[in-house]
Amino acid sequence: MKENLSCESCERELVALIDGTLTPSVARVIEGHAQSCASCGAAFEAYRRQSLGLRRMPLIAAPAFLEDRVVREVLGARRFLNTGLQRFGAALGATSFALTIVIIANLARIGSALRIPDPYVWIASAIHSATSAITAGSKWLGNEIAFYVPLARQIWLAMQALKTIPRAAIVSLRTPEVQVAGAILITLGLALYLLLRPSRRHEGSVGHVCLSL
Amino acid sequence: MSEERDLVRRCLAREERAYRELIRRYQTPVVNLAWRITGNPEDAAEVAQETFIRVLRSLHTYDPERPLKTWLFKIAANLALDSIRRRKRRPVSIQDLFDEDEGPAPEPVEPGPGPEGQLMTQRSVERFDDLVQEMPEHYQAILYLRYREDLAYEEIADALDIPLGTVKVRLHRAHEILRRKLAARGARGTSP
Repeated sequence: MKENLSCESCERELVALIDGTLTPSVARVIEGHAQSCASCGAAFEAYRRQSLGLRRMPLIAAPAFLEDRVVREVLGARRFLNTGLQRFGAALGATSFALTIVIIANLARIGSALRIPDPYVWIASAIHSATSAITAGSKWLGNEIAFYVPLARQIWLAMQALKTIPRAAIVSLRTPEVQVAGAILITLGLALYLLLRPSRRHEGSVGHVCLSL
Repeated sequence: MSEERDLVRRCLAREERAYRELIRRYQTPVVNLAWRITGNPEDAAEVAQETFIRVLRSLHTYDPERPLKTWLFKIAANLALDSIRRRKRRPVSIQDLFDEDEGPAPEPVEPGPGPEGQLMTQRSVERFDDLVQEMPEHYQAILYLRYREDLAYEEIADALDIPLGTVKVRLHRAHEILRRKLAARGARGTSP
C-alpha cells in the first residue's frame, strides 16, 4: 500500500478520513498507508486528537438583547409601515369619496367656471374623440395592412359600435342615482382592497382568497 | 425539517412568537460563526443582529428545500466578512472575552464535568482555542462549521460560498497549521 501512495497524498486525505467523507475503497488505501507509515500514522493521530479538541471549541453566548432588538426592528418597521399605509389608504379613500360627491354635485358650476358649456358633453366628446381615433386606426389597418377585407370590415364595424358608448355614458351619467352609486362603488372597492391587502399572503384568509383570484 | 418549515411559515405570517423562536434556536451558532470570523464579540453581536433582521425581512426568498441553518450561516458569513473588511480585525483571546465590562459575559454554553475537572478541561480548551484564534478567519470559520456545527463538507461549501474542493483543502491546511502550532508550543502541554 505504502509504495502506491506518496506520504504527501496520504496526508492530504487524512482529515477527510477522520471526518468519514472518503469512499470505502479510498479510505481503505489511506488507512493502510497510515498504519504502515510512521510519519503518516503520527499525523493521523495528531489530526484525530485535534478533531476531538475542535469539537470542544468554546462557544460564547448570544447577547441577551439580540432577540428583542431584532424583533423590535423587524416588527416595529412593519407595524409602522402597516399602520401608516392603512391610515393613508383610509384618508385617501375618504378624500376621494368626498371629492367625487363634491365634483358630481357641482359639475355644472365647475363646467361654467372653466367655460365649458356642458361638462357631460365635454366628457362625452373626449371619449368620442378617443374612440374615433381607434376606429380610424383600425380602418387604416384594415385597408393598408390587412390582407383580408371581410375581416377588416368586421373590425371596422365593431369599432363603430364602440362609438355608442359615449352616448350611453351621457345618458347614464346625467342621472344622479348612477353618479352616487358609481362614486360609492369606486370608494368601497378601494377601501375593500386596502382592507384585504395586508392579509393577502396568509393562506386561507379572506384577503388571500379574494386577491389571489 | 417539517418543524423548520412550519417555523418559516409562521414567520412569514409575521407571528412574533415564531420570530423569537427562530432567533432563540439559531442565535448561538450565528453569533459564534460571526465571532470566529470577526474576532470580537461586539462585532459578532452586530453581525448576528443584522443577519436575523435580513433573514426575517427576506424570508419570502428562502428556498425551503435548503436547510435554514446553512442559509443563515451564508448571510452571517458574508456580513462578518464585510464587517472585517470595514474594520481592521482585532483578535481577542477567550480570557479577554471573560474580562469584558460591557455587554453579556461570553459564558461557555455547555457545562463540563465536575468543578475541578471542569477547571482543568476549561484551561486546556482555552489554551487550545488560543491557537485556533491565531489562525486566519477563513480557517476558523471552516473549523467551527465542521467540528462545532457538524456540517457536511457540501453544507460548508454552500454556507461559505466556496467550492467543495476548497473546503477539503482548507480543512487539511487548518489541521496542518494547528499541528505545527501545537508542536511549537509543546504539544503535550497544550493539546486538549
